[in-house]
Amino acid sequence: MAVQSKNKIPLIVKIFVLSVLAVVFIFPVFMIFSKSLMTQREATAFPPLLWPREGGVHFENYVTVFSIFGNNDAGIPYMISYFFNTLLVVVLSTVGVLFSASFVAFGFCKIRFPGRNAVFMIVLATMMIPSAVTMVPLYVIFSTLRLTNSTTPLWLPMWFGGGALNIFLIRQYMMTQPKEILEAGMIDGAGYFRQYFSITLPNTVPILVAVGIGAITGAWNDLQGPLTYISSREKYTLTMAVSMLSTDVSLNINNTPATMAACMYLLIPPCLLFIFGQKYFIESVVMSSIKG
Amino acid sequence: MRANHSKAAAPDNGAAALRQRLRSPERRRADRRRTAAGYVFLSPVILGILLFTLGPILYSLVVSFTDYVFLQDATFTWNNFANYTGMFRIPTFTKSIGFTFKYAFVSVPVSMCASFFLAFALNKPFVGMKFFRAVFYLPVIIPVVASTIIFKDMFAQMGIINELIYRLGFDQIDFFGTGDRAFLTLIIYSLWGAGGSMLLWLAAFNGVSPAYYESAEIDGANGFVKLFRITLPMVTPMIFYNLVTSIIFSMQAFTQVYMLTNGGPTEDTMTMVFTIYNYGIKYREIGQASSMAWFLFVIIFGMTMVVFRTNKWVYYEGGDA
Repeated sequence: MAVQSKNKIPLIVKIFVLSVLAVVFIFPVFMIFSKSLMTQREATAFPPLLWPREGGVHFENYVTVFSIFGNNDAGIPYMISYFFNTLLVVVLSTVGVLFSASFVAFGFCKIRFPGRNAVFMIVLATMMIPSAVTMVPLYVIFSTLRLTNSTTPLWLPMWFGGGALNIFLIRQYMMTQPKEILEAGMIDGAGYFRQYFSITLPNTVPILVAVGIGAITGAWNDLQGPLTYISSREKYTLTMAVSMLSTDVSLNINNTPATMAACMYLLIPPCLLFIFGQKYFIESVVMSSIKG
Repeated sequence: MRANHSKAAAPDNGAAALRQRLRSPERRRADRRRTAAGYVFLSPVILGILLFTLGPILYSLVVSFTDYVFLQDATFTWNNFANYTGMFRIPTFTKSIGFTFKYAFVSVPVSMCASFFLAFALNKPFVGMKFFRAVFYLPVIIPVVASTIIFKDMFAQMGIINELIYRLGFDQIDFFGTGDRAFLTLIIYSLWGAGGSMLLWLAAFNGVSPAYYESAEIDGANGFVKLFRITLPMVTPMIFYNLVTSIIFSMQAFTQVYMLTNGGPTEDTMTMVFTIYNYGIKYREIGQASSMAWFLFVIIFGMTMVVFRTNKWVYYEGGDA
C-alpha cells in the first residue's frame, strides 16, 4: 500500500482533529463523574469547577444518594425499591421478549399452514403505528384493570410477541438454519414444542443475544412508560426517580452530587453491557435499522 | 445458505396436488394438526395485537369523537368532529406541530451530515480507529435521562459552557432563555448523539463492493471521484431509507425534550407527543388527546408511505421453509 506513506501527514491531522472531537464527546460523561465526587458547594460553584478541590473526592455521594428519597414504611430507602423495580422490569420484559418473539418466529418460519403469511403481514404492519396512538388507550386499559401504579404495564405486553421487529429479526435468522435438523427431529418423534425448545432455540442464541441486549437497554432507559403508568413514589423506576431529581422542584432535593451519582448508577450498566457485548450491541443497532 | 429454501416452490396449491391431498384422510388429519400447532405458536402475537394494538386503536378512534374525560365522565358524549377541528384552535398544540416538524427536519439531517464525516474519517483502519468509533458511539449508550441532566447543568447560565464562552471573550448565552435558543440546545444535544447514524454510514460504506473502487482506480479515479461517483450513489438508497425512518422516529420525540427544556420556555419547545401526553395522561382529556394522536398518525403514515414507495423492502427474500 504505497498510498499509506503518502498520507502520513493528513493522517496525523486526522488523528488530531478526531482527538479533539473525542474530548468533546467524552466531556459530558466526564462531568457527570467529576460532579458526582464533589460537595454540593463545589458542584454549584461559580466559576464552575472541572474537578473537586479542597476536600478531595467524595465517593460518599454514592451512598448518600440512597437516602435522598427517604425511607418507606418498612424503613428501607426508596432508592433501593427503585433499583429493585427497574431490575424486575428489565428481567421480566427481556425474558418475555426472548421467549415470545422466538416462539412466534418459529411458528412463522418452521411450520407451514394457511393464513400464516397474512398474519405475518399484519404483524409487520403494526410497526407503522406510532406508540403515541396507543399510549392513551393503553393507559385507560391498564387503569381500568387496576394495573396502573405498578410496574406490570411496563413488561406485560412484552410477553405477547415481544415486538414486530424482534419477531422479524429472529425469523430471518431461523430461516438460515437447515431444514434437515428439524426433519431429523421429526423422525425421532419430537413434536413442534420439542423441536422449538431443544433444536431451534439453542441454534438461535446469537440473534437472541442481540435482541436481548436491545430489550435490556430499552427497558432500563425507558422514561415515557413509567411516566405514563406510575404515579405513587414507591413504584418509580430508576430513570423516573432520577428524572424527578432534575425536573420536580417540589421534591426540593438540591443535591447535585447525589443526582450525578444516581446518573452514574444509571449509565454504568449499559456501558458494561456495551463493553462486554460490543459485537452484539452494534449488530442489534445496525440490524434494526437496515432491515432485510 | 439458500439451498435449503428450494422447497419454497413446493406445488401444494396446485389443483392436482390439492385433490390428491383431500383424498387421503391421514394427510388431512396431519394438515389440521399442523395448522393447529401453527396457530398455537402464533397465539401470543395474535393476542398481543388484539389486546395492545388493535383494541387500543379502535378505542382511541371511538373516543376521539367524544369529549370524554377519563375517571370523571361516566359515559361518552359524542361531539362529532369537534376535537379534530378544535385542536387547531389550541395554541399549545398548533405550536407543538410546528416545533415537531422543525425539530425532526433539522436535527435528523444535521446529525446525518455530521455523522457522515465521522464515518468517512473512521472507515478505513488506522491507529485508534476502534477507539474513536467507541468514543463517538458512547453517547448513544448513555441513558437519555442521565445525559440530559448533565447537558442541562453544562448549558445553564452559570454552567461550564458559558464559562468557556466568557473566557473566549464573548457574551454569555442563556441557552434555555428563548424558544430559538432552546431549540439550538436540543439540536446540539442530538448532534452529540451522532454516533448512532455514524454506525449506519459505516454499515452502508461496508456494503459497497471493493470491485467498484478497484476498477475506478485502474481508470485513474482519485479520492473525490470515488466518493462522489461511487460511494455516495451506492449508499443513497439505504441512507435515504434511514433518513426518513429517523425523521419518523424524531417526530415522536418526547424524553429528551421533557428532560432538557420541559417544553419551555412558554411551551416553545413542546413536541406533539409531549402535548398528547399532557392532554391524555395528565389532564385525562383522552377524547381530545386521541384526536391529536390520530393527527400525528396520519402524518407519520404519510411518511411511511414515502419509505414504501421509494424503497424495495426485501422481507420475502430467502423464501420460506
